[in-house]
Amino acid sequence: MSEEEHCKIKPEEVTRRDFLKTATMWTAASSLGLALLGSLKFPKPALFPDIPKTFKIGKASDFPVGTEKVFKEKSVVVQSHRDGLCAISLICTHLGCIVKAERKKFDCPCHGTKFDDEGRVVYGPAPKPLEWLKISQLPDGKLEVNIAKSVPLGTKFLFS
Amino acid sequence: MFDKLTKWVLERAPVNTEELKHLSAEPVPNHLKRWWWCLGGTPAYLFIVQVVTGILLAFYYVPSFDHAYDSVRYITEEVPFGWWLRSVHKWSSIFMIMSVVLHTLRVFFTGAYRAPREFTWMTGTLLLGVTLMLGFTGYSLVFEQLSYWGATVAGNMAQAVPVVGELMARMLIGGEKIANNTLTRFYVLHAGVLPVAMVVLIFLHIVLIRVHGVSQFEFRDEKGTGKTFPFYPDHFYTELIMGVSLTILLTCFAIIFPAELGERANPLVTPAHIKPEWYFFFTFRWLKITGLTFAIISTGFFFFLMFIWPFIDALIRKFKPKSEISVWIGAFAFIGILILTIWEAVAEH
Repeated sequence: MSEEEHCKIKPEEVTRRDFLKTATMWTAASSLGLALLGSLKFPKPALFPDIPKTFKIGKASDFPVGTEKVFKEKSVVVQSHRDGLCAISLICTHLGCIVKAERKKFDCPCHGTKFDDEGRVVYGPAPKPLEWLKISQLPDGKLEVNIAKSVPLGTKFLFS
Repeated sequence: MFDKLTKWVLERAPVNTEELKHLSAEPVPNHLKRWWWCLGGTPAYLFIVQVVTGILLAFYYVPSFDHAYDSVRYITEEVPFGWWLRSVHKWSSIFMIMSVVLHTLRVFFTGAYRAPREFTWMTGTLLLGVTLMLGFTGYSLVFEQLSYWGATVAGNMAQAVPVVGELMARMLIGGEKIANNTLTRFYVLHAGVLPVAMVVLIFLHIVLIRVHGVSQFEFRDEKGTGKTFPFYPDHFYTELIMGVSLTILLTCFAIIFPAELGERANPLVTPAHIKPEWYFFFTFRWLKITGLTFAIISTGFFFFLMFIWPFIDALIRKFKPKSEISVWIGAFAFIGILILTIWEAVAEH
């Protein structure tokens, strides 16, 4: 036998039965895999309830300096300071419980995080301060808070 | 008449009764006569109680945001014996968790997880996980304040898991907030997926126990005697006594401490004093004293270590054959969990 013939790779003989067996197995496995992938997409809802991201809080004159108003339905507190208004989210940044707004502090009843009057973590496991939210003025003079838009801690908004 | 009927049935379902007798009379080691060795059968019995009472409760329960709480109230206050069924369901779940934990401790501290019983231990730890998940999804379905905020915390915890967290949370909650989708998912998990997983795991667990036999454990007074006794009827009757005693105990607890119904879930107010069921006290306290990501990763790592412990123990014993370090680590972990649990139980916040 010459060296060239020796190096030739002889194809393995495949019987019709072997071929059909392999083909059936691969077809079954791939269709099952695809079905599984499809099923994994199923639990993700196609439609989500349209929760409004903004809500109206009234006019700037409704918030005399030194007052605060809790919007329970939206879990937001709006405070009025000398240098403007601010909106702080009452949702704890740890695991989503509603913090209790008390004088000069916020307390989370779930895992005991304590926040100061500006929402900074004073004690407890919360990883971040409470979220400060954007307040804007509508053409009719009314103010609205956007719960989807956070602003840096300490940002206050002045309106006429 | 009865013989004729038996003959007729056996012709159509040819069951070899002799073979069955032989199978059920498997010789088991003498130490199984001690009550602590009934703790494996106890959760299995309690699971049956849970299935039966659960099916009956499902006749009236409505897994929807608007009706879940009212349907539980209807079961508790209006349906004849509803309060009793609900209480037995609740107490059997608590007893089940207690017995699975005690069984796990017994197996761990007697070293019964060692080769060739590693898979038996692994299916056991999965059973412990499924039992805890059944407990959690169960009290979430009541849809009282604890249910809502417990589910909120669980969803946010899932979200904090690195890489897959967002997907996991969405799958569990079924949206951005706890709503109808969440309740139906929890219901499907509680009444469908988890019980089926439990049955499959119990089956595998029992098959593995039968394959390897019950682990040999000799007390000082019976060393080397190699005494055994048949599973049926001797040990079977021990389990039966345990079952009857538990049924009496469950009824007593259901009557003296019936399952209560807290305040209806209110997504706008987290109650001032909120705590999960006692079996999650340790994670709840752990979440309070450590950072979120660390708490989640360390808890997951703890359960993973527990799951693969037979292999870690084998590795330790390979280098130090007579090492008792596993017992010390186990004792340390157990005392740690106990301290966290008691701490959370006595602390006001």
